[in-house]
Amino acid sequence: MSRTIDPIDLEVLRSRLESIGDQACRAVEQTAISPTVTESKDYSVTLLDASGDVIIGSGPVTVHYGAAAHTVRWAIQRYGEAIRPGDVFMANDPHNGGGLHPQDVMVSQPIYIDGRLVAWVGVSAHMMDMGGMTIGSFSPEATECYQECLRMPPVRLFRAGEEMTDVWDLIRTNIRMAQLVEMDLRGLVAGAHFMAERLGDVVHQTGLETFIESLAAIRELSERELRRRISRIADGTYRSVSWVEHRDRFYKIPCTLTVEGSQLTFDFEGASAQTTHFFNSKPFIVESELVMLFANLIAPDLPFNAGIFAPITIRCPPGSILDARPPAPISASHMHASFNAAGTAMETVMMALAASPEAERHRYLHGATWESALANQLWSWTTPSGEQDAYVVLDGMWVGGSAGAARDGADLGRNTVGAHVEGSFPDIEVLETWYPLLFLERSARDSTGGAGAQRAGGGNRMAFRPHGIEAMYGTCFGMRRWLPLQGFAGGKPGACNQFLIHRADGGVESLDMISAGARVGAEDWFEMRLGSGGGYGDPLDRDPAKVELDVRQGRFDAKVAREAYGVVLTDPTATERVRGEMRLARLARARPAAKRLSREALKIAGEPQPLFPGVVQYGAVAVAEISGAPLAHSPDAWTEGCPVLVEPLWGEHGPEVIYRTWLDPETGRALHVEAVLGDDPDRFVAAPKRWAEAGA
Amino acid sequence: MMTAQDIDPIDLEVLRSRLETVGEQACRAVEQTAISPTVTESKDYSVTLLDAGGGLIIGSGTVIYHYGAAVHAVRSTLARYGAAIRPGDVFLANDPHNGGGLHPQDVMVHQPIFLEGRLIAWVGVSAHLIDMGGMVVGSFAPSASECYQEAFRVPSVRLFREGEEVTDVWDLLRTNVRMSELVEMDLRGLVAGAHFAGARIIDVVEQTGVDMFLRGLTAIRDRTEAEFRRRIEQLADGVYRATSWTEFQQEFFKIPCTLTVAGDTLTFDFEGASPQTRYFFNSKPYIVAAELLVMVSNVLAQDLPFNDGIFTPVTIRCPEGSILNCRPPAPIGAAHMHASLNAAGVGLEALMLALAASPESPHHGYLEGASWDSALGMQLWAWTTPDGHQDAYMSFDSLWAGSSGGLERDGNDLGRNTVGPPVEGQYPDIEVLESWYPLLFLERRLRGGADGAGAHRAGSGNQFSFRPHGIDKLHGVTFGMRRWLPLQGMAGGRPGACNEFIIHRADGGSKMIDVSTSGEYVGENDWYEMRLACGGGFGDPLDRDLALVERDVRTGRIDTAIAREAYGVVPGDLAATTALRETMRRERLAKASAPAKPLSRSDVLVSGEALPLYPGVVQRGNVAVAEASGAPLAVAPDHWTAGCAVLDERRWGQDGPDVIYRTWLDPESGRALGVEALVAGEESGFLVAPKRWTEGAARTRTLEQA
Repeated sequence: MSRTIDPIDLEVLRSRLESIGDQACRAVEQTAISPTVTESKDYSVTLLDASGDVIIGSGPVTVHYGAAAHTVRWAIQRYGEAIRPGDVFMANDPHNGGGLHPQDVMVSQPIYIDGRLVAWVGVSAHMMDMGGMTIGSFSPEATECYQECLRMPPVRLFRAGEEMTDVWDLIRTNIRMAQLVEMDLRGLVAGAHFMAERLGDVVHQTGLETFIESLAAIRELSERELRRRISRIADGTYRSVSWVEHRDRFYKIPCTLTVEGSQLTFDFEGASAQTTHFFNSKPFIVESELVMLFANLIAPDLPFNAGIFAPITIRCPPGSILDARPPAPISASHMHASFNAAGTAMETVMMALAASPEAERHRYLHGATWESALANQLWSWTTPSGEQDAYVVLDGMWVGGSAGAARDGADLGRNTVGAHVEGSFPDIEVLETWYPLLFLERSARDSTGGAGAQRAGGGNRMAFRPHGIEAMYGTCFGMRRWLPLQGFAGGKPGACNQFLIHRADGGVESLDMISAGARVGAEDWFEMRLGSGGGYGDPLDRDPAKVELDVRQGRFDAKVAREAYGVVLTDPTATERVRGEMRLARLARARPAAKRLSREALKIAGEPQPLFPGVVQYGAVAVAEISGAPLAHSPDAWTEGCPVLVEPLWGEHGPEVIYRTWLDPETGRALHVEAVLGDDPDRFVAAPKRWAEAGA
Repeated sequence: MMTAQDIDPIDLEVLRSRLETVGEQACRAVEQTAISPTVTESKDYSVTLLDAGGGLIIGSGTVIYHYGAAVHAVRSTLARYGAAIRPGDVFLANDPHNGGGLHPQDVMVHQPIFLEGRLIAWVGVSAHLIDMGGMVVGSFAPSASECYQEAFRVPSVRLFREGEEVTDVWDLLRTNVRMSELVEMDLRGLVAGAHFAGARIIDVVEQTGVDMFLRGLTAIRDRTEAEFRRRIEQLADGVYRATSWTEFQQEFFKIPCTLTVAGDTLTFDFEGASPQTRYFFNSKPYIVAAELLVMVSNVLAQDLPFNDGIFTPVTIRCPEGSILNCRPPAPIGAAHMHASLNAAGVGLEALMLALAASPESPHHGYLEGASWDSALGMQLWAWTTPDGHQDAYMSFDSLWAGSSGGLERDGNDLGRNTVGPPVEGQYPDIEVLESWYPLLFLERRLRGGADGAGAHRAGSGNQFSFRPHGIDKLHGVTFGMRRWLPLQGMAGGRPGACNEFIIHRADGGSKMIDVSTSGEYVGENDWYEMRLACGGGFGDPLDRDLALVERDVRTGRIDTAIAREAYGVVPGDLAATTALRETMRRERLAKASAPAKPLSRSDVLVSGEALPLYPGVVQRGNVAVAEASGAPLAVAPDHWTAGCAVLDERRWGQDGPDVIYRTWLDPESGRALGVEALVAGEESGFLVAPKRWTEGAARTRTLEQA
């Protein structure tokens, strides 16, 4: 049976559900006690339907919503008919129905109304510790999941309303700082109870049947509109490649996006095999993150629910780093590999959008997303009374954003469009009250990377020291010490992350991004310099006035202005000359194009259609938009006619990361810059169907 | 109303025997339902019957240390759950910090037994499970520094609640342990054993009636206690002290024990034990008690039923926050081994000192050197099977250290006790091991050698070797003891051999690995060898019967060089032997330092009956005298060693830590009266102070003053 539901009623219902989600968030915040939840807001509340489809997500950690769907489906499969009113489940093991990562425990509760299972609520937050070999439960040294933490498949915290003391006892026994964690966990349960109760109020007003039909209608509206928007993206194949780092080893994560009608398929075929490092992941985690990033860009104005997931297929090869099996360690399952996968996928989306003038978001183009450059750490210490305590530095998330087609990148990890993905800035005063730390600095880092016609934003530079304790010990689980985020359309890759310990004697030590056991003594201090995304467009095309503004504001100095941007301050003539020389110097150093085309040999006619930023398609020929230089003939990649400039990034001081710049063969303008591993020929592909078929 | 005493003793013994049979049958049930060789071959399991309050009724199965752990688990569960305990509940605990078993892998399944709604007994079933999760496969984690890293620790939780499986708990277990299918099967075997024992006890009680059953239990217990107290009374009242150290690589942790014998009670006080450490062998008082009581009972009461009556007369004190009574987050993965077995062994050495001074005790003849239990050389080897699974082998062969020499006999080979049942497990069959594991065993034999020399020498430890077979590599976790500080002998016998673990590489090289370590590997063409420790000798080796030394040479235990250097024996030549031995004794005196309080025969008036003070040393009045030579050694209340020349020898030279052998010599003859193995810089660790010696001094002074 299908009735027509009044769209006003539908929106009223949706708003009410959103509102009770927000209220449940307040309930969590007011009952949990650790600053991770109350200050950094590392939590979420997700409302799902009876089958585990997302209805509405609330709370700052939007990537939890998909994880909630996964957990609820797993619980349904495991418990089936045995699920009863008053049951409350908890799961945290990504291998077995768990949350986004083992510390992001997922508490889920079936909601019964008049004896019928009508919905679920999933509440998740980052717990300070879930046991295992390293305090805080991120274990860079772990080689298998058994070492990492207490892993819970969906088990009952409450059974038909009765507390399962056995399960609580097991949790309390196996985690550090058990009193703190238990309070936070009970805060999540409170949020779930709150949600269940309020939902009952709503349903009793709307009536059960109307409620259930309305959920389907809301979902349907989101899906229909999203499919309409996807349909406006140019059919075709788009590929990008990135790598996850573990110290100086790299694990490949390629993504091929196929756009076909209203359907998107992200295929990670070719991803590295699962590793013995803690960042192996799971398809549901890649999906949670990728769908959220995608929705932020394409559908920030649409209700985020199961309808957003429907048009998107994600394929992760079994046994790969993105679909690991036990005993693969998974304590950072939500970070390195999965964020890299989601970020690489978004790069393919950018290429598709660049080729799609019809698409609403054609103008929202930007470089790689900052999520795959997170650089979090956890510091622990012994309090004067002998207890263990720890601080998760969520400030390590505030990487500079990549530049976009129409703007510079945002400072400190803000998205330009869409809801924020994770947490919020914790207040320094609150941190200092709570923790025995003294914060010395928090500022936007100098823009040392991410040059472009639009440049990247600055990452967080923060420094702190122990205060009233004798030492603090660090576990680092950051990304991108060596391989930076890519920009777009000729913008340079971003800055890499750095962790430094400044010793009392003036010495400075650089820490690995992934490490355990670093010690900062009472007289030492710790500094993190976060990286940034990449620039957009050739830096030699940046408006000299903007460069001068950047110098005045202290983002970089006159030397950088000259070397990265070709700008001689206050001298437009000299700038013009220097830029011309720099472009010619590029051509001189570049390897020749694979297939050089000359203007004479080609007939260029017809309407230009965008192929890539700065590259247009005239019929079967790709042409550099500004110079008019022909680049390639369909179905060759448009880069076939570009000389390639290969520059090693680290020289003797690091692994073989290279910047590969595809140049306009006539002008030397940078059309695209990739950051890749030196010995890997794999590369980006931008092949809309109309290009691939134009030559036929 | 009838009292316990009114029960016919024949009925009582019938009841006791029936319960013993129930326990043994339950053991068979465990063995036939569990599947891993650790349980089925090495027999690392136990079944314990307990009364409604958790008092021990009867223990069965080879790992008799488990019985006291069962007591602890049941009492913890009673305290945690109280009136919420229901028929059909089955509990599991493994965390020594929270009501657990002997150590986290020795999980304790325990089940209340109800009859007609009344809780009448408990059964505890324990076995070593091959993995309980944590940072190292097999869950012994020598590199752990806190308990959260070591294993999935289970406080008392319900596996079954009123007969219904608590799937949540099983799911958590399966998720957090390696080889979970194997572990689950073994765990279900333990539950089967508990169910079996429960059903059989009900059969018994239905025949005897509840009242008779309960009164019978009390009577058995009371009789055991009464007889045990009678035997304790035969020990000379006084204070006896022994000391040892637990090692981690080259760090040492002191474990001293002061035994006070007072009437029919024994108090073992471990005051002075090192503070809890960051190493995995911190322990708990109930574990020390479970182990020490078994050892004490083996000596004094091996013919008595081992039940709650044995526990009552004995008090064990472990200082809070010490290595023997640690608090979280102290790691406790080897809670049953290094520190606790060392403590139990040292407690037993103190008891030996008391026995030596107690000629009335019928157990006086059981005198011997340190117990071999604190020289275990345990290890676990893990590998990846060709189909990609993890598997592991716990080498129980590494339990078979040689035992110390005794008053009337040489020590036993391969970890057998002279009195009482063997403590842990059994020899696994090599054929079974080879069919189960991808290993090829090369050798299992007696190690032999000079260590543990004495008038009665120590037995020999196991020398055992194997290699990977059909797999490319073995990864080892070792958690052995006594690489550097050997077991002590008694009465002048030499300390024993230390444990040695050696990896022989394919290229002919070899590598001695630490006895507590993880991360070592044995490659496809390498092989692995362990040479196990042994206890100490009893009596001066220069007093060993020439014929026995000659036989040891003939049977290949020692060669002629050792016969000469350790025993002063020239085989086949009595005259040369006598002369050599005399020379060696003189050389000892020449190398020794002077006594703390030299005493000459003319200084003292020796009179009165000779009462034993220590083997080879007698008390005559207020003077301690070397029995063989008649040399006076000390006047009460000084310790008898005050008049002994002291010979200190470094055990390891440059290659190891500063371990000292300190020999207390008869100042006249150069005979070794006592040898200690000490960490350098530490005071002598032993004390023999029967009341009649210390108070004899007081009486003498009183007379002098009068």
